[in-house]
Amino acid sequence: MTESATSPVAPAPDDTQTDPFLLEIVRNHLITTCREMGIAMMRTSYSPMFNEALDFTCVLFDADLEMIAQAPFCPAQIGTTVHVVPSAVREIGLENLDPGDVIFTNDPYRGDNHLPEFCVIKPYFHDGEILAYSINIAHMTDIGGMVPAAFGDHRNTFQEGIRFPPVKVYERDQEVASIFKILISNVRTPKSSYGDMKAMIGSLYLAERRIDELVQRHGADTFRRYCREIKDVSERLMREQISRWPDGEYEAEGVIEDDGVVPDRAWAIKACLVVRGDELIVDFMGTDPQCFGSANQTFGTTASAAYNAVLHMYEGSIPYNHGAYRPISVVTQPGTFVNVSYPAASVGGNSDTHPTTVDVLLRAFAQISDRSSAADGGTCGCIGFGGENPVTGEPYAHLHLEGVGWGGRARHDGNDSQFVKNGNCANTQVEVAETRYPLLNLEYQIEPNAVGHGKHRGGFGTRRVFRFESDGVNIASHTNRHEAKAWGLEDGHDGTNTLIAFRRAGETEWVRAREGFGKPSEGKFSGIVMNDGDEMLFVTPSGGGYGDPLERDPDLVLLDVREGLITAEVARDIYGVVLVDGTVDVAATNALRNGDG
Amino acid sequence: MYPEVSEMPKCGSCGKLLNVGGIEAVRLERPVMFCSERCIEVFDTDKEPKYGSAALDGVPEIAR
Repeated sequence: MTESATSPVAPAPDDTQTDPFLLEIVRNHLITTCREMGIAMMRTSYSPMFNEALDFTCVLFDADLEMIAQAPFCPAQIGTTVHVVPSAVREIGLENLDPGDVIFTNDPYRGDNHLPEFCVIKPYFHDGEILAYSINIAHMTDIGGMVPAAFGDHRNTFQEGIRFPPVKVYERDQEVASIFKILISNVRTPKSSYGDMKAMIGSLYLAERRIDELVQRHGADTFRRYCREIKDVSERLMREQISRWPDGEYEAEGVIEDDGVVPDRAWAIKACLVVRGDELIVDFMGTDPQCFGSANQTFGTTASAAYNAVLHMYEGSIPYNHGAYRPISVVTQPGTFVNVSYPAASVGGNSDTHPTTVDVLLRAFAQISDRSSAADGGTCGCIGFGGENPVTGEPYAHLHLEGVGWGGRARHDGNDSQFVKNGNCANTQVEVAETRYPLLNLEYQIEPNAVGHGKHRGGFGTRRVFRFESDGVNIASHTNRHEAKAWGLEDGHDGTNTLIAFRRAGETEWVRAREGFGKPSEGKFSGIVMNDGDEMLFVTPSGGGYGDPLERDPDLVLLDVREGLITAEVARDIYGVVLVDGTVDVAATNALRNGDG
Repeated sequence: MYPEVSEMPKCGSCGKLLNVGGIEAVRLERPVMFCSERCIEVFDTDKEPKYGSAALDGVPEIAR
């Protein structure tokens, strides 16, 4: 989801006071400000989660506590800001805010995605009045808790890490020392956590300067009016889009295969799209109760998944702001898998349930739109590594992220080895991980011969083999699709599974978490300890296929064979394409596809 | 003592935690908090007609 700088924004036809050129100037100034915030984050942060994976979001809100601009970083966090920002500001109280204050929270029950998502909010004052807010949500690698880097088989929020309700972390431009002391005393990586927080807050100050430039140039009244107009344009565009979908109710369902606590117990997500004129209700009633592990979604995550799915279905380009969300209502039942209640855990819900929730909604949208897709690999590949760095002697925590295969679509194959569509983060780079942490990447490649076949096939996953270079590497994981596969659409085939396995130094056999370590889950576990020379295999899932494989363009099948992605036997047996001497035998292919071969 | 989130109401329609604010209304013969007029409308026109008394399952009683 990227927003074009030339989005077809038109002024309201009955508002002769709005200058369409100035509207675009203001709108693009705000978007550029968000992008600049992100660049500042990349250049000043300490951890690879920020400066390499880009697991953060920069947005601006106006005085009405509504989003007016964002940059295309992490969509999962962007949708959540709509809920966590007003909640945090109102709990602190407008009357208690002063220039130079910064609010901080990571409370998943108050609208945030999950505990690692640190949210900082800075009001921009002009002549003693709040005109706007700059906001940064970013994924802090370590938040204390029972496992390094937060992802594993937690049973409750207390095991997951430290939780902050809305508090001031800056007062009148000064650090609130007690908050920082509490934070760095409860994480494994105090230096980088402190540095990353400062990078986040630095981006807010940068945004404040850019907003001030705009206000100084055009005046506060113009700024307020154009903020409203920016949102109203998006609302009109979204209502027009919803009106193009036929009224009705469209249901779909999907599952998360386990919760890391109860073996072989899947958790169902049920959704119904209710289209009524120019409004849309995304109804999750009937979804399973909240699970015992951390695969639960917070309300903020579920709402964000709903917004993401709708924006994926939008035909054309729309400025992403609060106006686009106004016609969309979300219905959930508290205490369920999509609206976790205190004190149940939720760290894994944002990374690994969120993608499946989006896919469930796209499955429902497939009934009314050809923009939908088969399911994605549906996991962020979150594997945490922690221990003592043998070079520095200090504790470390590293969160590995990995791409998966995306689902095939009506007109395209699924993307290969790309981070899930709601995350928009980068796969962990080999060089960065090897430089900072005691591990080597022995293999890193696309995993061939494993994909959801189709007229437009799914994307391929990846294959990595790690070798550890120190003793006592503590490994925890929250990953999906070890059992449940990404589903195909329109006669496309299902995708393939995730695989995590371990091998002790000198041994030849790989063992998985259940068989080798007695864990209840192959993908959601903690406390597996690797030593110097031990190895870990990680294969990520492929996406589902879209359409009948027998309708795939034979030249595309040939290309996949030439690139080593599938074999000639698969080309013949699944795609009905006969290859002779490296080319397509057209007559034999037609005969085989027509049942005459 | 500050309230923990378990003591705060949730919207009868969307299910969102209401740490501040909200609109109180009587539905299914009990007081219910909603986060917005839009959520009341969704409850009245979709959630309650479709799910009946189950529409408020999981929605905590308002503490008085």
